[in-house]
Amino acid sequence: MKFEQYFKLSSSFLIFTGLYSILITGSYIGPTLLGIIITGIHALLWDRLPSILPIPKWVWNTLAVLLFSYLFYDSFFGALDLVGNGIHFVVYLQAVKLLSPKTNRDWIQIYALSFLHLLASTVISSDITFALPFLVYIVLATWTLTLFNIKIGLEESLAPQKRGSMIRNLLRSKELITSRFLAVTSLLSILVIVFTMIIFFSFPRLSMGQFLRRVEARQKISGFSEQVELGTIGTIKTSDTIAMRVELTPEAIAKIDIEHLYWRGTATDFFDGRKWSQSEPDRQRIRLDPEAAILDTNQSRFPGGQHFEYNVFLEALSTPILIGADRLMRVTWEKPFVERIFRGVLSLERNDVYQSFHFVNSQNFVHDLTYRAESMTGQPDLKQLRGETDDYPFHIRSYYLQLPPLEPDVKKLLREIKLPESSVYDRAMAIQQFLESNYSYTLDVKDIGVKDPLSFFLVEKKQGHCEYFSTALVIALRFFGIPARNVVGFRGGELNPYGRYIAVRQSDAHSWTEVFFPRSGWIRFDPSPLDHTVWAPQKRFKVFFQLIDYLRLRWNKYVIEYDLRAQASIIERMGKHLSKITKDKKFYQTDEKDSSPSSLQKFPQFIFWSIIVGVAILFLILRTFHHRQNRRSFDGFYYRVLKLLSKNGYKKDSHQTAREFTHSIEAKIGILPSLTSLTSMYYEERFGRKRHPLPTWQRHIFTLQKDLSKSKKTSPRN
Amino acid sequence: MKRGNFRIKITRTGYFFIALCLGVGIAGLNTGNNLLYLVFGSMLSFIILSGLLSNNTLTKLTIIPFFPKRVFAKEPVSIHFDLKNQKKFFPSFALTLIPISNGMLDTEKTFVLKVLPQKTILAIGHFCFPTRGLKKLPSYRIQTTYPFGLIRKYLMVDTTEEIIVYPAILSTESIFALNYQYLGEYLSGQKGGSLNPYGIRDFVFGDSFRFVHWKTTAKQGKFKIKEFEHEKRMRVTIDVWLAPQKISDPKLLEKAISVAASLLVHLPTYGFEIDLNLNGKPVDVSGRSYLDSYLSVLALANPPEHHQTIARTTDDHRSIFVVSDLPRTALPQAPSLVISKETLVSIQ
Repeated sequence: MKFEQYFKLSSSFLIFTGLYSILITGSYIGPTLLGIIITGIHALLWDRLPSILPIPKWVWNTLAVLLFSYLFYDSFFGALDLVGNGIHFVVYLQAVKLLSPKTNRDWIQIYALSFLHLLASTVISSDITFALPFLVYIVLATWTLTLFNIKIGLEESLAPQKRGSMIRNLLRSKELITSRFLAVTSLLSILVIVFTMIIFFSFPRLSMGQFLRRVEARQKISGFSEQVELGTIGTIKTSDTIAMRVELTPEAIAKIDIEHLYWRGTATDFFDGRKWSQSEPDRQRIRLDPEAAILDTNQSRFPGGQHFEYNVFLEALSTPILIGADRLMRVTWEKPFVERIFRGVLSLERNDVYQSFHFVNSQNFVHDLTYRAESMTGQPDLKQLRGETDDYPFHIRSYYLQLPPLEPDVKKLLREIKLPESSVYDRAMAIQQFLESNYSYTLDVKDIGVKDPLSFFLVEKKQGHCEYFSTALVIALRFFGIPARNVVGFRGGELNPYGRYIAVRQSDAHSWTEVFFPRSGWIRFDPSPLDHTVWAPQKRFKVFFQLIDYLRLRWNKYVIEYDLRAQASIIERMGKHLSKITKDKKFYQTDEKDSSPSSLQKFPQFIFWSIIVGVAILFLILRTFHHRQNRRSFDGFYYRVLKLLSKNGYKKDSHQTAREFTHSIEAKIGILPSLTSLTSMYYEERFGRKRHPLPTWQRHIFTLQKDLSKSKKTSPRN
Repeated sequence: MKRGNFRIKITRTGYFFIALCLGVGIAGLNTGNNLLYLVFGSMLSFIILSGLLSNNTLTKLTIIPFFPKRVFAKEPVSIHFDLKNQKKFFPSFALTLIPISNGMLDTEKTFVLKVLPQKTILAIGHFCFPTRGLKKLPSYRIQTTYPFGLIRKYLMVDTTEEIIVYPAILSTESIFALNYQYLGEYLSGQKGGSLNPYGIRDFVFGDSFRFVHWKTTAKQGKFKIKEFEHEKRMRVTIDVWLAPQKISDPKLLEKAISVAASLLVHLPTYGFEIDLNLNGKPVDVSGRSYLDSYLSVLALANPPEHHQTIARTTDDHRSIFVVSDLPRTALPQAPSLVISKETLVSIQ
């Protein structure tokens, strides 16, 4: 392939990759597509394009000024999207450059603009989809810059009057780019990637962040707010987007029934016939201890419950709620999250009435959240539950026995349910079983325009999804004087075998019921049958999707979430490995008490700066050694002679030979035997291959020094 | 040749790149955005690799220049470089050789795309000496901006060798223009030599390609010329008289010397044997070819300190060309072709 073709391909693909990195975020599709089209046209027509489309420069400049003015106004007074408007303008500039005749300087500007596209994509999204264009960009940049550098070298070596035709001939040559060159440049790309990884993982992270990146919520899950409209969760369940990932230990995975694991969000108590809401939505702000960063939920424990710990990676949600499995006992956060709390960017509030915890973003920024949680699954034993009475506290009776206006058909239906007299628990179970036996599951409810959705479900359709089941159970329980409330969250999830985590999707969104028992507290009841249909269409590509999701999790953990603690942990692990080898555990051993972040924070910084200082010292030593090596050679000695003479006002011109220079000095101040000897020695070593010992050189140089100072003293003053 | 140490200069693109890199780094530190750290890491990698690879490119690279035997002032000289890469595994890419004279960079650069490991390549550069005389051969700068054009690393290769640069040669048209009538009549009946072969010698500037001995040329790899017996060779004396230092005009001096040198070079093509006198003294041909001896003397000629007595230098009615930067009135009369100050002034 000709050099020109390589250059065209690499440049065009580089520009394309920059634009693609924005396109893949799903934002600003219009301008990026336009940019890609123009890049494609340019790649096909190349140098002919400006002649086909000869637009004068003043037209481009005028358009640029107008566009800039508009975008400037829009950025600060209009849509306030500085990044988006910046992208628009950069795409315009790049298009103008591509459509106009180009010099080498224009090419550099085009590459710089494509780099700005890549930078912009880092601000828009943090998804794993950035990884591929980034890697491709590095490879293409290596190629493009190398080829561009060669092109400039070729052009500069030709006399200006010969450049035109000779350059064209050279660029069309097939002999410039050989297989060895291809191999070396490919190796170069790999080296760049390797170095990038090393720098990325070793460069210290500092908790400075004054301006946090803006990430728009990618998922709009409205079912987890203080208000849930009947039918909302059904809509959400049609999407298989992952809402959160939960990392568990292999032991926990082995003992937990994932399919029946409930991820609780929040509860609601007031039902108006169509919508659930909270009667007491007020929340209290939580003050977190910056060192401990622990939140205790004060949930009651019961014997026989299974306790387990897990890490939650919550995706950016439109209404972020802390989600935990079953009974959430405790939550622990990483320090960066706590810092966000203290900077006021994020705040955490609790509502003890509904046992829910909410993240409130004061500046309308929404972030992915990571935390460690401890939960308890299971229920109190049957004996205890059957022994419960109906002696409810006043506030429970006030809020959790509320009923909306019910249709006569609904009341009639409810009265027909046969309830045992044994215990409250058995009566609740009987109602649940009634729903389980007589109603079936479907996402396709078709209740739009229906006046009373509950009546539609219970009396007419007899089919519905979890919200209907849960609502029906709550209303039925309340009808019989048993306090109950509606809860929203997720149920189940899919185990990803690659990463040993549970992927909980929007299709796992679920609604169930909590029933109050005076001693046992709120106990879960779920009348909805399990539904396996949502994920079914993708079962063919299940393995592929699981692998991609695993990579996404790793990307979030090791790239996006990589911080000072992660660095410290890597160093600590390295240290422990080292201690096994050296058997010196003293330095690396950490007490339980010392494993706090503050003691570890300083360690990676110390290592980093030690490396920097060490490299700098090594560099200086090598440089000095190299100089000294040079000084020992005859060239080095003669160099010292020239320096000495220069200090005394005798500077050698570049066109003078050594002997000429000596003669010129002698003409001024007379013969200097030491200088004559040094010049002869230089010539003898240089041309005659004769070696003079080091002391001889040093002696003559010393003598020369004395002679020069003598001649200075004796020379007449002007 | 003496090699200096590597020197580094950051290119304009390099400065811009470093500034951008710092900006991205600060943005990453400020925002805590790990993707910016990733981009910063890649930019830093580019800078580091630029430094390492440019260093590697120039390491263990030897350069040996070869100059032609005769070098004339104001005439481009082709200099052959033997570039050897002594590295075992790594090639050297994108090298530029730049001659340096009087500390200034010359514009004639030689670009070498690659030198493979343990290989030697021949590169050709051009240089032009502006004036005649004993000159130090130009130093060279070998530089590379490989691979990314961010850093320019270069190596000064100095030389202490000297060369005698012969005076600039005027074209035959310029010579004829000086005195067309005389030269035309004089030279028109003198052309041609014997056809009897005399010997074979090296080709020198001015020889006719008609007399190339191709068999020997092919064997030895350089042009060889057939010499023929002298049949009726005319002997010509060129008398060069230079004005004394006090009244010497440097421009006219150079023109006079150039004219004399041009006659030395062109006249033999018409079958003349030449003798040269400088300021009344014959120039001795000592072991070298006579042309080189004469041209060397002219190359190093300086105006005499004192005024010379100008007279004819030969009495054997040999044809004489008198070249001088003195006025016509100061020079001997005919029969001789006289190129005096007044004639020299008309030469551009």
